[in-house]
Amino acid sequence: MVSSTGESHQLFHDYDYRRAADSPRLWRPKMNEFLTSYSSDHTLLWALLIIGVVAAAAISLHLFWTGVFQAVAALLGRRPKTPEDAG
Amino acid sequence: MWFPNAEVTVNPALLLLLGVMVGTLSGFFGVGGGFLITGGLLVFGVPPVFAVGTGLALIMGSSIINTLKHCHLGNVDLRLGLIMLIGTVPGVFFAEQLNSTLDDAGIIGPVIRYVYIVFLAVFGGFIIYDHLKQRRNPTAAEGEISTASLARRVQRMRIPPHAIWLPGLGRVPTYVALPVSGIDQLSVFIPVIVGFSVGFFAGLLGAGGGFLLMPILIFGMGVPTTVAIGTDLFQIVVTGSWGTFIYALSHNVDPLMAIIMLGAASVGSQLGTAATAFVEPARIRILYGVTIMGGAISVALDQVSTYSDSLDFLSTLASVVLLSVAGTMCLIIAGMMIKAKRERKELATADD
Repeated sequence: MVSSTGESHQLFHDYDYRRAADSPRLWRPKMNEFLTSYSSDHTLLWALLIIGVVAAAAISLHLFWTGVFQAVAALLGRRPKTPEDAG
Repeated sequence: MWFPNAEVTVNPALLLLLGVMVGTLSGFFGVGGGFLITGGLLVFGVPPVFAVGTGLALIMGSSIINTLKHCHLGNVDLRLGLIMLIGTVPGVFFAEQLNSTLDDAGIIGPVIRYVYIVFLAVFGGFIIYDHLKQRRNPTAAEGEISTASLARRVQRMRIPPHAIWLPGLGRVPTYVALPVSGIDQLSVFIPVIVGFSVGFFAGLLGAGGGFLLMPILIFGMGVPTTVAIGTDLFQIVVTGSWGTFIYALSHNVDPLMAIIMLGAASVGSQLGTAATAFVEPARIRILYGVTIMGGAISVALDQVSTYSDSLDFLSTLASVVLLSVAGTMCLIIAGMMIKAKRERKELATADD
C-alpha cells in the first residue's frame, strides 16, 4: 500500500514471505539452525518436543507467578489467596 | 526479530501485546482465544498455517496456566471435565476425518468460516439476549440465567442404561454427583455427548472449542459461571495439545514465537483469573457475549473479503476489529477489577 506521501506501507496481504525468508536477520544462528533442521529431520520427536516445552514453560510460569504473589503477600503481611476467597 | 520456523520477521513487542490480551481474556472467559490469536498473527504477517499452528501452541500453554490458577481458586470440576473427555477425544478424531474430506473437495475454508460465523453469532446473540431479558425481569434473582428451568430439566434427565458393567468394578450406575458444580445427580451420557460435540467442532474449526463449551455448560447444564470457566479451560488443555501435536507434525508451529507470547500471556492470565473472583458472573457473561459477537463480525468481514480482490482490505479490517474488541475488553476487565477491589476495601473499612 502506498500512502499520499509516496511511502510504502506493508499490510498483511502484500507481505512477501519469500523476501522475508531471503533476508533473515539471523538471531542466534545456532539455535535457528537447530530449530529448522531438527523439525525436518525428526518429525515425531519435534512434535513431542514442542508439546513438552510448551507444557513445561506453562507450568514453570505458573509456579513463578504463584511464588511472586506469595512473596508479595508475605512482604505486605497478608495471607495468600485460598479457594474460600474466590467467593 | 527473525522466527526461523515460520520464516518471518515480527516485532516481539506486538507478540507480547497479543500474548497479554490472550492471557487476560482466556483467564477471564475460560476460552482459548484461538480466533483472536490467529487474527492477530495474520495482521503481523505470519503465514496463515503458522498462525493457526502457533496459535494452538499458545492456547495449550495459556490454558495450562489458567487451569492451574482456577484449580487453586476451586473453579475446576475435574470429575465433569474427565467425563467430558470421554466424548471430546473421539469428537476431535471424527472432525479430522471430515476436515480431510472437505479439504479434498476444496471447500474447507468457506465451510469453516460459515460454521464459525453461525456459532459465534448465535451464542453471542443469545448471551446478550439472556442478559437483557434478566435485567428486565424484576423477579429474577441476581446472576440467575434465563434458561435455569431448562438446565434443571437437563439435570433431571434419565437416559438408559441406568447402570453398566465394568470389568473389576461390577455394575456401575451411569449417574454422577458433581458437588463442585452444585449438581446432585447427572446422567454421564449428557457430558459425554457435550464433550463429543465440542470436540467435533473444535477439531473442525482448528480451535480449542472453549467458546462453545462455556455457554453450553452455563446455559444448558446449569454449571455456575466461574466453575464453567475453570472446567472449560481444563478441556481446552486437551484439545489444544492435540491440535498443537498435529500441526507440529506438519512443521507448522513456531515454538520461539509461541514461548514469547506464552510469557506475556502468563501476565495477562494473572489479571484475568483474579478478576473472575471480583466481577459478578452476569457481567462476565455479557462481556463474553459482546466479545464473541465481535469475533462473528470479524470472521464475516474476512469471508466477504474473499468474494472479490477489491474487497481485500476487509481482511485487514476484520483483524483490526477483532484486536480492538479484545483490547477494549482487557481494559474493561482491568477497570472492573480495580473498581470491585476498591469497593470491597471501602466495605471492609466501613465494617471496621
